[in-house]
Amino acid sequence: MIELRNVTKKYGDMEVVKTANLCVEKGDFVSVLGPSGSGKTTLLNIIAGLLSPTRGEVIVDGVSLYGLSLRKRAVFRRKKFGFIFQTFNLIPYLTTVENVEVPLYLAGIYKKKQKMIASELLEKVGLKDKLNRLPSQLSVGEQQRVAIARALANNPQVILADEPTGNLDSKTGKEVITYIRRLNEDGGTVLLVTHDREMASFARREIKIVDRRLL
Amino acid sequence: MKLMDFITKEMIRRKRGAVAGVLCVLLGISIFVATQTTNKALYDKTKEQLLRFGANIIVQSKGEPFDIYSGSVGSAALLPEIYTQEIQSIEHSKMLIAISPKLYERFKVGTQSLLVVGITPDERKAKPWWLINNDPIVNQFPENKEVLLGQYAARRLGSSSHIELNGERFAITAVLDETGSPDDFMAFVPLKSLQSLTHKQGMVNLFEVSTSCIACKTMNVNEIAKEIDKMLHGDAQALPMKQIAEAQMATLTKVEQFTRIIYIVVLCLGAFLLMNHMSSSVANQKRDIGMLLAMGMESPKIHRIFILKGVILGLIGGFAGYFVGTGISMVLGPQIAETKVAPIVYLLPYSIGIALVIGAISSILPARKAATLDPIEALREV
Repeated sequence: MIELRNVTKKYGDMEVVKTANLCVEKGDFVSVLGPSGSGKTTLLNIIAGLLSPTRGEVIVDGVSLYGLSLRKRAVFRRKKFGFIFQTFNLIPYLTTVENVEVPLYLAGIYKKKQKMIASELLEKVGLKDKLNRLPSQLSVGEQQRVAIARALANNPQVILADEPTGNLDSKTGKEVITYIRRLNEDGGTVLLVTHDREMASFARREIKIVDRRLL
Repeated sequence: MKLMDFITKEMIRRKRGAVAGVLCVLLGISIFVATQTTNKALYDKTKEQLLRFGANIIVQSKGEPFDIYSGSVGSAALLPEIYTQEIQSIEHSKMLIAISPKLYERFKVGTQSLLVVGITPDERKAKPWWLINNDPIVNQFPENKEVLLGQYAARRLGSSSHIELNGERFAITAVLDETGSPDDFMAFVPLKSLQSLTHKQGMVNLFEVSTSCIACKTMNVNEIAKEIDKMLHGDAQALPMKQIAEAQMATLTKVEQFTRIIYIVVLCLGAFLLMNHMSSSVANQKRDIGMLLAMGMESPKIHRIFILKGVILGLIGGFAGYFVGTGISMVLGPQIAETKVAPIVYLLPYSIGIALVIGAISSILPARKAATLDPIEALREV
């Protein structure tokens, strides 16, 4: 499903990602474990089609991601990926349900259906009674659950999670990773980058980054 | 969700920011409306005052013109009184307020030399400032064998109920209040009486023509004078009294130019402030934009969001600015223009139009900046 072929990313003389080769099959749950500054997020951004590699190729479902135009890549990203970030990145002036509606709007789904799907997803993550709250009115755990619902809205084939529990306490972190695990059990492909060994252990497969190189 | 929701919900839920944006446009538009409204009141008032100056055009002989200031009649050439009809037949005759044919003759009254002017009732329209004991002339206008005296002429002749001109007795109907013009030294009798007295039946020395367009923007005194010239025969010419007209027009134009500079500067300032507001709005929403781009929103949509936001702020600012500006002019206008200031309804669509342009133009650069943001950079700034 996702294949990285000799991917390298350089900023000037500095090599942030060193010749990475990776293959993630459909339905897999892969964690990439590494300390801060090891290039995990850079690698995830490259896989997401947000950051072009200096060298190498990223193939998703047989399509070379960086062979696509910017616009086509945006559309591809919208269809294939769901994102979960450490800082949730919810849009602060939109309510919980509106935040989840955003990817549905981008996919061209009409308004009534957007609301229906978003409400269902929020119900699944236990936020049925907080549909019209603004992110600032939610706890951090609740905000991350909204971000998970949003990531799932388009029924993406791959969930890309960047330190999704980094800002959460241990208990809430475990709850969130349990949700992500459940997504995988339901057939979703998950690629998780984290510095937390415990969280990484929830994955089916664990890959380490050592000295900016995938092991 | 739809595209407009990104704009309206942000504006509703971040009211302070939206109000700041609206205020940028409102500032420019309200000053524009206030200056325009006050200017119009000032313009109308000045125009009304200018009309009180009386004649703006003198029609006299080409041969030996009459010297109105020295009052020397001498061998001044005469014109037929019937030219009144020729003058009345010009294309823009609606702009003519009064046509006053005048015949001048100097008489010896006792030991004094007196310049006597033959006038028609139109003189009242041409000289609305003629007052008798502070009241406009009503019944005191001289009819057959009657005379109206200027203030100094009356003083020089002493107290009397009548004067004799060429042996004919003329009853003094009234003495004019001081006007500060040569009229103060003259005596006024009906034109027909003077023509008969001087054996110049049907003849006059000149015509004084008062027009309503001394301060017109589309038509000026020179053009009216040219029209009159065309209607006259070769022996007469129409001369615009340029000094008064042009000086007053120049003053009005200067006032108008000055206020135009003020509101253009303020409109530009408003646009600049709005552009700054929009730029800071883009900076504040950098992470949101980054997230939208990461989720697959195309750059043109991001661009559209910010252009539309500028346009909406402009629309609200333009609408509110019209009412605020009108309010300002109605409160401050009477103190500046010393006249009543009325709202100008047609400025509303202008205000909204200008505000929309300001909103759109001010948003171009910030919108472009937002649309070209690198999502990685934007998301990194946490």
